[in-house]
Amino acid sequence: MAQELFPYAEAASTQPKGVPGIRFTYENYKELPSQRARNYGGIRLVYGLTENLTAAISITGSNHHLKKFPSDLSYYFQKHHQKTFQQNPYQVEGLIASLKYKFLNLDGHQRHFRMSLMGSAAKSFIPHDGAEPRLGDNSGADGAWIATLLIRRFAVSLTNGYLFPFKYKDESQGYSFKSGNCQYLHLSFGYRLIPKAYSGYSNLNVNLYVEFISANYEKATMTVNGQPYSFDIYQNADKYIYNSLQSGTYTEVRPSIQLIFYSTTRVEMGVASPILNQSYLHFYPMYFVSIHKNFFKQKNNKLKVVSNK
Amino acid sequence: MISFFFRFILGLFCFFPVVSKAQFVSATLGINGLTCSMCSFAVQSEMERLPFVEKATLNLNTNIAEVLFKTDQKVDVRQVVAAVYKAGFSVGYTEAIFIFDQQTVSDQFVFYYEGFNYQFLKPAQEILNGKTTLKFLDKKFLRKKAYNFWAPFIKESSRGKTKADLKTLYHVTL
Repeated sequence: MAQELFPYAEAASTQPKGVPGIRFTYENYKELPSQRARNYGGIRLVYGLTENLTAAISITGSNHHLKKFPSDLSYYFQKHHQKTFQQNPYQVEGLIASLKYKFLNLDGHQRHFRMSLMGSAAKSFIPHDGAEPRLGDNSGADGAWIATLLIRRFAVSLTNGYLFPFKYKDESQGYSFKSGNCQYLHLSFGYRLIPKAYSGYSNLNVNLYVEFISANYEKATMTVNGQPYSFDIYQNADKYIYNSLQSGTYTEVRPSIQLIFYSTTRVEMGVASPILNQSYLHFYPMYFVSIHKNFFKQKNNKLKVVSNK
Repeated sequence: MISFFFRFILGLFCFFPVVSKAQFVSATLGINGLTCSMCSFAVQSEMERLPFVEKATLNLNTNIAEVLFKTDQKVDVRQVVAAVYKAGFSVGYTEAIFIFDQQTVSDQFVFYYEGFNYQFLKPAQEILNGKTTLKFLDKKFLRKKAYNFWAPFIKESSRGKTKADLKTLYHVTL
């Protein structure tokens, strides 16, 4: 299963029943043209409610956004990627709750095919300012189906989902902002490089991944005191800002490497690069690192190293 | 009429289980769906938490689990199988070693051991003595294709039994 523990996409497999896990995710990229570092972090708690049902709750934070939209919207949208613009604070951005249900499980010797349905809901505390939505940046709901095939050391997974962001409202200033509805497709490949054959649970696992992330989303809409706010004024001022508020389609690739220690802890690192158009959620290249640990209830609290020769 | 009477009496005796002097030693399970040490670790951890399990070892390359039982605890093979499913995987086959003491067995023969009945299906009549490997045939104890072969025989042998009887009944063969 290790080669289906994709760093970005969710695999169709679920957490073992009664086993909790924790995951830290960190993303970093340089904002352009300011060259300022943008950092994002998330903590995710996972728990196997049953052998087929997994629950997860996440909290995310970053310095990607202001606490609220400023009163001068024109200055904000034109300048907030510039070095002269005020620094964004680090803040908690959102809470996300998810449920994944595995409804198909076809197992064979050293292989399986699984399918799951996943639903998520998020509450955001900040104003997201782009057309492309992201749970945590946006309050919203998400639903997806996942299919994962694993044969010996190779895994491939397909995720197709729909993200519906809720409207952000700032009643004190009369603003509302809604990112576009988004359909996404993730195609992920994983391969266990080592070990070729196990000698025990303490063997270091090294897995290689390549993930393709595609999204198609609608344009953002905004109102000020109930009146539509047009983004057309930014078309000549800043092409990047203008494009980030319009509908879009893109595909990016995320190659990564994963290390699994003592069969319980995994560390992965990789980079995101655009292939077709680009995501406006981040600049490129975007680097990511995550650490995930499962807490298995062991009788003697000791790791039994087993010789398999 | 008379032959029906004798068949009826024979059928009753086939179900009335014999209390066995057997001892349950260990079990071997082929686990399906596993491809790495992280998932094997989940399965082995789950098995070792069972109170009647002395030791469980899972070969990470063949995906075969060997489970050694405590001699002073009541063993429930169903819980061992359930531990595999709880971890998110499935069982390809389940075998267990019993130590018999000059036990004659045949098709439909039932023996009782520590709260459970074990009914033989399709073995040749023979006398079991010493360590004997029994293959479990019930659903989830073996892969679907293999279970489908035994399903009609299990259904036939389950006729007339109550739900309570079936909860403590295993179907086995040699």
